[in-house]
Amino acid sequence: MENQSDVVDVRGLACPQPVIRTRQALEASQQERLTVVADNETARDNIVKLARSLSCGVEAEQRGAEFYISITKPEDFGAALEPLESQLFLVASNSLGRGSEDLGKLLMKNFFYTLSEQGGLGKVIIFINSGVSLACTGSPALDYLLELEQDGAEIFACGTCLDYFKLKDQLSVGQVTNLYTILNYLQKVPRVIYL
Amino acid sequence: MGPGALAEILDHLPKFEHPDLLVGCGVPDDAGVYRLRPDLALVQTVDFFTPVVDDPYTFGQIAAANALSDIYAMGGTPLTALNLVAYPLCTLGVAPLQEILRGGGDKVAEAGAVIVGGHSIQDDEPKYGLAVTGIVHPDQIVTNAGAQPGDWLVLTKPLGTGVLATALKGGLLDPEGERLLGETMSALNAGAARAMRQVGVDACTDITGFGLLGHLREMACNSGVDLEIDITAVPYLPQARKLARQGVIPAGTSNNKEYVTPYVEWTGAVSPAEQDLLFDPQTSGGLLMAVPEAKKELLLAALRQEGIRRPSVIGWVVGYGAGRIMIRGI
Repeated sequence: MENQSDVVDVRGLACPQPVIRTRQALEASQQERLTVVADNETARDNIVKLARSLSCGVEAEQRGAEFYISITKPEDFGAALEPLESQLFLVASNSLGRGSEDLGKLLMKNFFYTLSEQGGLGKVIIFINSGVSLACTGSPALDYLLELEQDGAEIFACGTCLDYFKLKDQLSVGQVTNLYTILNYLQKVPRVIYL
Repeated sequence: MGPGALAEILDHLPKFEHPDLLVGCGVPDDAGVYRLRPDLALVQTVDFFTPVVDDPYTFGQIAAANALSDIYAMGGTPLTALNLVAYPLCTLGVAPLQEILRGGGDKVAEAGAVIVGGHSIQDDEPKYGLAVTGIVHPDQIVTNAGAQPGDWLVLTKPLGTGVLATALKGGLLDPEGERLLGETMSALNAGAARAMRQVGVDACTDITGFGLLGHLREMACNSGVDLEIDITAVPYLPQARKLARQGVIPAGTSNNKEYVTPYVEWTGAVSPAEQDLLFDPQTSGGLLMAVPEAKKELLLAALRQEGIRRPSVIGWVVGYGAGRIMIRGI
């Protein structure tokens, strides 16, 4: 006996309506499960992507010319719709990990590249010591940091460190800060990630 | 129209040959080129489509910029343009059409060209674009078939107009996102073309409906080379990746994927959202140039000088080959 689930029919709808209707139904529905009926592979693929991006379980089945997509909401579905809790990244070097500095610099670049895909909301990024160079002209991660900042991330570079490396006038993203502010953020933000 | 369907149609077209037809349908490129004199050739192209934004003036600007781009991609200078209009006059009235034409006219004037006429028909769905004629010196034509091993690939506009336009249609794009989308699509490739002519490149194409990988495939295939792309170097419009991850993907992406996937190899990790964006159909995208190592920095400097905010070196030509593209993930 199948559990009760709401059904959304998106057959005949043009992009991006299938994804939008599905999202609306997921937000409005009280049921744990939602079944979406689509009539093309693109709609099926995009609805599956939407479901995964909202941390839902999803299964798609083809019956003839139609696609039945079964979506199961996680218990904390409400949280999936809210922005992530605040995260602070304390970046204390321009190289990630130990063993090879060249590899470390590449890893750091790729790290910010991957981070920038998540968007900037709720993120605080603080650069200290050699990490400040990542926020300055010529940094391999600069484009990603600018994108994060544009999307709501707060970015800071320690002033003492910028002075030490003579980079104060080359800061290209974020603001200059000091240890009072840094300490305040470290203590206030629930999740601190040290790089 | 998807690349697969188009290729099938073009295969059955009668082939024209003429000693003065320098670039025709034989090797598909951005525009046709016909020599008039030893020092002068005509460049011709045509482009029109349905609205991608709500504001009629902006739509006119975008459609015009898109049509003019193909002239620039060949190394040419636009001279004259003809308006192409399909429009439901009874349902929408005259005012929006006037705004579309004003937008198009302003963009043509910005390009230093003139609108010499046009044609309009009744249609249930509005469409607008231009047929554009330009000129180029026969020795200075830039085709998409000249890429050489060792060349760097430089892209002048970020990707993601397909995803953002889809988001806009679905009410999922904020005003700032809408503004950036309009700005990038209505930006002329004139400055990029000037930089290109000044420095000299081996090949060029503009990135439009077939997506980055579709147009790269054309360049690779026509040039007889294999390409490698560094996924971390590909620029995207703000929010593009987030929206792609949420499934806000235009219909054209799957056509492009189907056609180009046989020629693409993936190494390392590339997120599904980024994969989709590499096939995202672009409207009025940037120029993609293949430039020799010795001229790369000069080209980047010239592009910045012309106001290109983020010229990106996205990959290189690895060697002669059958037109394969390797995407290097992280």
